[in-house]
Amino acid sequence: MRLRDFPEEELFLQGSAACQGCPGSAALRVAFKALGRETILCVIASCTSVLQSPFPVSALNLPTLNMAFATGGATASGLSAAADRLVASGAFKEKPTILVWAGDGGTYDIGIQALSGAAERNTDFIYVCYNNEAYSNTGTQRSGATPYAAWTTNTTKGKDEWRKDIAQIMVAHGVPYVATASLAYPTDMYRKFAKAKEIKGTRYIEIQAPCPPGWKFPSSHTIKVARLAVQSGMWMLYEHEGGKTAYTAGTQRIIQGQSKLLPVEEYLQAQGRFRHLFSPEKDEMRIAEIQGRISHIFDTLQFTHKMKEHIMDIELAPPR
Amino acid sequence: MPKRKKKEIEEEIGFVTTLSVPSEGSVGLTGSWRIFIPVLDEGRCNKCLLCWIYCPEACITKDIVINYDYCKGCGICAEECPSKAIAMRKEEKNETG
Ligand code: SF4
Ligand code: SF4
Ligand code: SF4
Repeated sequence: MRLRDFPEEELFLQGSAACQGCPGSAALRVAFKALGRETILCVIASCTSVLQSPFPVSALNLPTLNMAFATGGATASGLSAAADRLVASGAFKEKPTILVWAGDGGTYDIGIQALSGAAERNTDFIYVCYNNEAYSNTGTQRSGATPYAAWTTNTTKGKDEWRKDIAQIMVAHGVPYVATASLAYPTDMYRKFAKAKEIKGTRYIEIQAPCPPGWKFPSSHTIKVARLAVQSGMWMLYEHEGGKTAYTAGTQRIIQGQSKLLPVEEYLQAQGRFRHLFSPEKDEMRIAEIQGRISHIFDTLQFTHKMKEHIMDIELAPPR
Repeated sequence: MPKRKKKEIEEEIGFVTTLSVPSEGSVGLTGSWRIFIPVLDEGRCNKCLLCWIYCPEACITKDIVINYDYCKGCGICAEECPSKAIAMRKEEKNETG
């Protein structure tokens, strides 16, 4: 899908309450374009609850329910069952897409129980986590998604723990589709949503969402920071279905050797939340720790990729 | 979609609703938040559509027209434009109404 083929219709309306350069609104736009009007939206307490704007108006031009932090999976299960009934009774011609839109707080920490339950039952819905790696709408507290060494209001010297990997936890649930996406690669993101729409069962898509006030960078850099995250390997793009993982877009290009893995320093330096790693003194140790993890993952993936090519060569070699 | 008042919609549907109504400008003319304004040089634009898809506010149309009523002046369009067709410059007060 090329950009010029994206639908023109905007289901995210102008003049919302989002901050300048908000990654959440940017993600909503692309997701809505791919999913279309026949979608019921369930918003879990997050920045999106705020940016949809106060009653009696809404910036989201889709039927929307607002839900408590912990209830994403449960609400979607109810909605999905109700929609099935309405289809069976003939009231609905087709089942609309049930879309849960949650932040990382509502997914990694508070919402995981209900999400896990729904995933275990393979309930028919799409769950999106737009991951701004903190509780941004309450002023940037740490979440389970906050990366190691990042500043938040309650990790002022940098977080001591590594973030957990919910996308992989969803893979472990054995659901039919799990994907990660980046704002900087809109065609990749669009394709993943369009694909998810056609699959039945629990589908999970996670979008990394660089947040200008929370991560402390200028509002014009939202896309730039998202791109640096992929280019430096701090965020990986892939999709997992049928027991197989396929890397996509920028991540795939690095693994296949078409582009270079950028040093993680470039990504860290682009954001104020890692400033303490560079001043007053450079924290070589923690930077090396982060780089070490990424390099290890990419070395392994690149090696596997080369081996696969090699095996293909052997298989395809003509008989002598 | 023009901004619709809740009352108008309630008259149209014939009952009072406690549901929110989708509406443009739900928190007013957000263009007033702006300090810097994006200015397009049409001659340089190659219609790659990147500014259209990257604008978080849906303020740029597919034929690359910027709606200054709601543009918050984040500067993403200028930063991401590959042909440098958009420049951010300090906005004079009330320049665009
Ligand atoms: S805090 Fe961040 S994610 Fe939340 S509305 Fe503002 S820019 Fe968007
Ligand atoms: S400055 Fe920001 S809000 Fe305004 S048109 Fe450009 S990208 Fe959109
Ligand atoms: S990003 Fe620049 S070149 Fe591309 S459509 Fe927008 S103004 Fe034109």
